[in-house]
Amino acid sequence: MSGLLHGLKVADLSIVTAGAASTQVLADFGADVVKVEGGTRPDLYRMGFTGDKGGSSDLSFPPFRVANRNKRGLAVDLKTPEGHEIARRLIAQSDVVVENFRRGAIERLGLGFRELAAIRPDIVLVSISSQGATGPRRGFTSFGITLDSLGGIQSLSGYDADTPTWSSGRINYPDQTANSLAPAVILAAVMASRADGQARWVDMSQRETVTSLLGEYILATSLGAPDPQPDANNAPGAPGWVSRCRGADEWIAVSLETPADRSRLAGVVGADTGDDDALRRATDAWAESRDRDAAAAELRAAGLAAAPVVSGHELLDDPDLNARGWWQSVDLPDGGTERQRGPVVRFAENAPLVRSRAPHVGEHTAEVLAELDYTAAEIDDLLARGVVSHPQTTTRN
Amino acid sequence: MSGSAARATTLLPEGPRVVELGETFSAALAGHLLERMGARVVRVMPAGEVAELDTLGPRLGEEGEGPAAPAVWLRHGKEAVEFDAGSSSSRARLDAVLADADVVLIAGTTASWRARGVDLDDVRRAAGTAVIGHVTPWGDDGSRVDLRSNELVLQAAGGFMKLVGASDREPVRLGGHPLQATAGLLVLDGVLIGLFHRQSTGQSTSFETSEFEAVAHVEWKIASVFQSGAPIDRRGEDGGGPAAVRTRDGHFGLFFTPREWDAMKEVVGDARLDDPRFATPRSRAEHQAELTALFEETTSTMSKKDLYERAQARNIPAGYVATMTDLLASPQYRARAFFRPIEVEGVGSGLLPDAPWAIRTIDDLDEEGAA
Repeated sequence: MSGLLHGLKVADLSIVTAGAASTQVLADFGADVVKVEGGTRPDLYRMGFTGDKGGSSDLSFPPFRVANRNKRGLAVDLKTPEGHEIARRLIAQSDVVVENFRRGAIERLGLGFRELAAIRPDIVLVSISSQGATGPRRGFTSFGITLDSLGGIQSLSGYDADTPTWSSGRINYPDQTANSLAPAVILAAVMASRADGQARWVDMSQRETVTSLLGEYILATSLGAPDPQPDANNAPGAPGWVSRCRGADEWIAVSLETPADRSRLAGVVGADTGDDDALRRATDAWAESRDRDAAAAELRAAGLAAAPVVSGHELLDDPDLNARGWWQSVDLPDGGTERQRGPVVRFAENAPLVRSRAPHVGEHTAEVLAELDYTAAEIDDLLARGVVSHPQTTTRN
Repeated sequence: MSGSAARATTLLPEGPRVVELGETFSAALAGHLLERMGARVVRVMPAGEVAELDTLGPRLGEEGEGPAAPAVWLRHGKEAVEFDAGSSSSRARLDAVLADADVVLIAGTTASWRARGVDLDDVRRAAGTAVIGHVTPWGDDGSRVDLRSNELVLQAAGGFMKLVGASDREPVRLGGHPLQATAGLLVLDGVLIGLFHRQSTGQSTSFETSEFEAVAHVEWKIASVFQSGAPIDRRGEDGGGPAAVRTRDGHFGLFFTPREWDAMKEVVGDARLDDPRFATPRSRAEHQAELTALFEETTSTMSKKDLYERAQARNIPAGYVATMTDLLASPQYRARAFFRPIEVEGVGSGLLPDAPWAIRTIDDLDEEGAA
């Protein structure tokens, strides 16, 4: 069968992970996602963004390959009249345009909401931005982890009140919340516009997304509770900690949610139930001579909420994920395969999740232009004049 | 969008009927956002059980003895039905609710529902035209199916904590329920994929997931980079500079990229930052403690919001560490009508964050233009 989103057409102007990993979810389930990039100014995430992990080609950076699988690549200079016309034709055939430029950029390209609605009266424009399209801070700039700070989660994360801690540049939690929420919002908006024929602009704020997931703390503080503070690995009413195990930087995590948990833990680590600090010290002493996984298994066997602190790459060997076929084998551009993350959820009915690797810049330019009713001669002319471009390998300076 | 107007979040004007069968943080969050999209949500709660949300903090009220804040938040706007497996009338009522459902969110393993006297195959038959989503902590089978889970355990088991914290200290979690919440977002994706498919084809569908799989989905980069042979990141190795510095009234998240270094020096205005020891990202990382101390000599005399304005004036993508109080007073959030009121019985009038999206139509733009 075809994918569950077969028939959904997406003009994807989004970049990096907040945007591109959102449309990846749509592409996974069968949407036709055309990734629109400038031939000379492609998605900066192709090269690793901060420049620390990129390689020599436009598909060298592994996370880029994940966030853009199953998409087609169109390279076009949208600042030229001919490029703008290509965009107009693409949008006329699309259900939704997704972008996460800085505020004002989409309008400067002549592709603001009014212009899009004039092209297609039931178009959906989804704008994923730092702080939204309105309000006094709409033009402020941020990276993903800036929004750990501004969104509120950093204020309750860390070792203590003096060490507010963000999610790290590698995790970049705010970008992950955006690309986890956006697929649902995009689909709901398209359903609504298909139902009533009306264009919609979905203004999605990444800062608000982070705060929207802290509702319990917003509510408590609005009712007079003091601001929550970083409290290490504890949760309100449920002390937790990590204890070091044998080996370099190996840890187990355990939390105590009920009085019975204290008895269980005391039984395993050979301590009096006493106070929680004493239990923690006893757990630390018990764990330091044990292997991480064996220690975690022993705590779990006693009925405790516990886990080894693993690195993400260890999940490649996780028996449950592998038994469910969660990891996806994807072709590498130069031969061989790699494993990429699985689906957002597992449907009983869906076509194979991965149909193609991420595209080179402009890999499908000719194919997409032909679908937009450009003749072969017109395509050649556009290529010759640099309005559009073919597959290429970019080289880092 | 003005500060006084309610935010437009409705995207599903036909008001699909959503049934939450059981309640976990992730499933309840998915139901909460469906409610903000316009769905009518009914919670079906097994009689005589303490729901997970009622056990989570913080608690509301002066003495902290009021209702659990997560429960108040995530149940707001939903209806509730109690289910007693031993009662034929209760079973009939459940069947009626399921037959009427467009979406059913099942929280908990098949075995846990069987222990309550509910066969999930019967649920699926009763809700024959619905999109059915089934979410468990670890999966409905496999080696971990019976293990306990919570936010800390998920952050540990999914690769998250290994990246969070300082390099010379232990791994530390993010506060709140970020991964259980994100699992809820992925469940929401599944629901909308199913609803879209149903709108397109008339066919219902079903999906499974676990909070553990959701974490693996969210922390996806390390496994990806690892396979390329590149070094694996560890916590505290962001390389951009001090993560947070003290200000007169809190902390500031001092994020900047190498190209903003000169602008950052302007903000701080201390000539010692011109020292060659701080000239490159690598050398700044090597002297991070010294750099932090130097930054803080200046930033500790400034307010975090002044620092924010000065950084943004130079296009530096940094921001202050916002407390809940800061967020509630945020001019940006107020201008966007982000908070909505709630009356909590026995506690008082509070505020909740709305959905983080706002819908506008051409008519809205025309009205704004005319105003």
